[in-house]
Amino acid sequence: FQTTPLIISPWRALLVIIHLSGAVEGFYRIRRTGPGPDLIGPQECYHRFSGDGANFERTLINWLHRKNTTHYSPITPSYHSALLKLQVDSLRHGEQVTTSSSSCDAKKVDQVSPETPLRERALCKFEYVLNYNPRRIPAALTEVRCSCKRPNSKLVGRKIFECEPLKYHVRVLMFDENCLEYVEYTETIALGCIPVVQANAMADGQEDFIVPISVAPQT
Amino acid sequence: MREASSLVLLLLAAAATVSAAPTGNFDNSSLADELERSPTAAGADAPLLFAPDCADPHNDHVKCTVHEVLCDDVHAVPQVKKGDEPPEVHDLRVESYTKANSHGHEHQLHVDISWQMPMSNDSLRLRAFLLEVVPDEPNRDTFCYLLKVSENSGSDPWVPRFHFATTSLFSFSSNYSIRVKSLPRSINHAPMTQKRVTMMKDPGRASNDTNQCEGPASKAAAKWTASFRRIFLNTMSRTINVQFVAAPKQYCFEQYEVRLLNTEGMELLHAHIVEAKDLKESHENGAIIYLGEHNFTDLEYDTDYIPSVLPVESSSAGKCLCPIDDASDPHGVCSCIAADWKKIRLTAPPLPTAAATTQQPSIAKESDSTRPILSLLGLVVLFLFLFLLVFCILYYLLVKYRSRGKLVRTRFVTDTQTEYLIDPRHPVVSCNSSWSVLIVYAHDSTAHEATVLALAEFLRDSFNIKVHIDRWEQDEIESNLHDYINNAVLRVDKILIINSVGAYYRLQARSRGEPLERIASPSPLDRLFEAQIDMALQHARVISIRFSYTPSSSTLFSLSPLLQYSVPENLPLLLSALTENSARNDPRLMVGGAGGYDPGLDKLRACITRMQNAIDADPEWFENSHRRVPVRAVGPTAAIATPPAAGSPARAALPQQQLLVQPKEEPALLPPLDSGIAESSFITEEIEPEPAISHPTATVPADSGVVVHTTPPEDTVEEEEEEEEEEQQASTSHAAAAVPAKGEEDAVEDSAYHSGSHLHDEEEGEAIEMSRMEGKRRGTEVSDDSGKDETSSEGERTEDLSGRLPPQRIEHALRAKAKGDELETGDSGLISDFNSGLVENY
Repeated sequence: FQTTPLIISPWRALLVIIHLSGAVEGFYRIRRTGPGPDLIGPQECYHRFSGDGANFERTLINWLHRKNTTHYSPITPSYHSALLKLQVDSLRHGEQVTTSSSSCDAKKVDQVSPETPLRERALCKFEYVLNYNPRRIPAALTEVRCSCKRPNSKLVGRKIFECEPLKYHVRVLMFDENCLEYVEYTETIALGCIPVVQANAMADGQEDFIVPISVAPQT
Repeated sequence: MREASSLVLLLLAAAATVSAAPTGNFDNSSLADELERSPTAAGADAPLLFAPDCADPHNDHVKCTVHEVLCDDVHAVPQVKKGDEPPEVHDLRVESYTKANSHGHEHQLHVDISWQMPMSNDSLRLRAFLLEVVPDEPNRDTFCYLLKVSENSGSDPWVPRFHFATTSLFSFSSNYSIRVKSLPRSINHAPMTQKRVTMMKDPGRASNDTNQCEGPASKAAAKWTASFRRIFLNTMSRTINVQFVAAPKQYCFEQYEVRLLNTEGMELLHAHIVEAKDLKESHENGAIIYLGEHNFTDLEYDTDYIPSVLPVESSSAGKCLCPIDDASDPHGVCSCIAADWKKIRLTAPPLPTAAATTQQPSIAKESDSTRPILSLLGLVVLFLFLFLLVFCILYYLLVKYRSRGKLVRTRFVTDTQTEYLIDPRHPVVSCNSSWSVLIVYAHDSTAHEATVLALAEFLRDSFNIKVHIDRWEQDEIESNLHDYINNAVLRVDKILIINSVGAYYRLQARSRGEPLERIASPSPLDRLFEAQIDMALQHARVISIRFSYTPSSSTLFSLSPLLQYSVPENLPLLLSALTENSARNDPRLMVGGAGGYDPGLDKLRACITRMQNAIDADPEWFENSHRRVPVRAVGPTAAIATPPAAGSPARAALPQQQLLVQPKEEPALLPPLDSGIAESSFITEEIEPEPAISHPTATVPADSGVVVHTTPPEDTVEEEEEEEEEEQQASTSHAAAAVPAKGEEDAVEDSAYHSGSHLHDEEEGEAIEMSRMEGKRRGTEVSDDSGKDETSSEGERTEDLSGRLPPQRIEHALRAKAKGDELETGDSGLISDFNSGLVENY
């Protein structure tokens, strides 16, 4: 990118002012994303692009929402080949889009290739499922679902670990039932399944509840 | 004044001891100790409500101490210029969880407030934090704590997390505002981070409505921690009994995992699932608590274990019972808290040593020197007294018997079983005083013989019983059958008679005069049963048994009054009867039990099963394998043919000498041996008075069959008959020498009694052949008659002794012929008349 002087179109500036002020409620259903003023990076093309007007936002929406049989989520694992192809009738919430070849207690593979997808090398087995909501933009998101409660004992031995989903917030637009109005919404999806240490705490009690039963009375 | 009080507070807090080294998870295990030991700002009597150490256990080089201060005390840390303040804290967390106390009816609310500083150079300006806990209730005071932090070099890439832990500062169901201010502050600005929290409800006072288990789980369940009631360390049995307090019902836990972790608390060594329905309900102080228990067994000595209790996070339906984020999301983070305790250990019991035992007297001696002396003196006196008493008794006896001239009167008593002892086949001195048993049985089939043999071997090998059975004494049988039959019965302590289908039918057939023979694989010992049974029944100790495949209806009538033992069901009782010792719990009779594997018993059972299977496969096995031997004149080995009828041409053809034999008087009737036979035909038939027939002295080949001879009782034998028999031996031998009729030579081979044995004596053979042919022809004629059994005393079974007939048999046949009547079977199974049936039949 060439460095160009900051030029903001008036139309864009007006939108920024409106966005910052937050005074307009109801028209776009704008909601503050959090406390404090927004961070505006002057170098960002978002502020500098003066292009094709409304097509800019439309392009973004289309790009996020676009689906075909192989690419149906704006967030997908890098090893995309593992995802199953979907049809329209397969667009269901919770639809599993990957299948594993081993169970939770499968024996350890003798040889693991470095090119083996990480999903198959992970200590906590997981699958990708479709998080689908037709009232949302994007409608389809792929998220992770842990397959096992514990890591495979054949891999970690008797260590007490748990497998928990690692969740993320994703900004989406959520529409009403009639698709007439929308709001800015934060969807929470799991993007990883990680082994974690089990939660524990020291139990309450005194030393006297330990009762040793000795062999013979101590003299 | 205010400064003085704050200084006092600082000094008091500084005097508080630091708790134990922190673990991975923030460990406030010593919080209670700290609370008891450390003085408080409010006064020396009230315990501390917080952990005085707020440092990060992972970054212990950064020290942090907690001090309770007044909230409006802003001079604890000197102020700085504007812009020189440290940044506000980052990632402020308020983590709360409840702990059930060991009594179970109360819960403690533990709260851990933690935060970090942002990773920036400005964080190096930090000197302290001011923590403010502001309850929403207006009538409650705000608590303020100063957390003084040592200088941080900032060279580490990681940023410490500071903790403030308290067990009783917060209350259930209350709202609080938590504020953390970074110090030093400036005049106009105090970097602060604030968070509002609402504490959970008291689990002990919450509703126990189990219907709420149907809806989403409570988030409070993920914050509940169990406690231990009792932990018993049983060293001898190497067990640890863990008793824990379970959660209230509203948490809907269905299972609890009781565990023993390794010393680091990271490895699962032992685990057990305790079902919620197995919990015990206890009412204490007006509250219902639920207790769980488990015994860990087979543990190791001198190994550290950490007991732990963890509620199982999922229900049987897969619902998360410990939701962290969203209770309605079944795939969200689901994690319950495991309650751990400190390390416990089973100490190996000390082995008793000789040094220890020998030291004991010395220790006891040191403690009390007089007591052992007295006890020793008492023992000595007692010993002397006993010695004196024994000496006096001996002296008295000595004097008494010395006067008589003898000390000991010895008398040797002879053993009553002299016959047994002088038997060269049995040692004079028997090392094993075991019982001897004779097994009398019928050779029904090969499988039955194998079963009997297995029983004999089992009794011999497993119980050291001297078993006598025909199979093992064939040499003796061959040498002298009569002697064997007698001695076999006389020399044993007990006789085991095996009831069987064959035994039953054989005796029945014998009484009818139609003995049975085995068609396939006949045994030379097949007829020994009929010969031996009468003698055996006279023994004083008869035991009646049958195998399980033999129906009870096949029990011999003579044995029916006796106790019937079924093998193998009544083996213990049978062995008890045989050995006269209780064998009820004998391990040798237990299959797969404490006694282990007994090959003899196993073999016996296998043989019984095999026989049973054979019977199941062919229910008419006996009928298909046996046939009745018709009563007729026998073949060439038989010397006695059926006497011709009076007036018949055959009779007229016989030498006159044969007709001179006079019949004897009829002996008295004796009850039959066969059981269950209602027919009285054999009883009503007259019994031919048979003379005593001497035993053949010739050796009997093993495969030549059994010729049953037995000595009738003396009262039925008349010496005159014997003399007559002897006188006519020579005459009958010549009389029998006759040329067989032409055309009848071939009939010899067709005799049913032909056993393949042939006479060596040509003269006798010719006579026999002739008489046999006569008998056969007559037998054919007789068979046409109805109701008459024509048995010939002249006929003899072809299974004879080396092919030579005893003279007595010939004489008997001749006598019968002289009588001129068709002999009929009158065998009633009488012992005295035992030969009659056989002789007449054969």
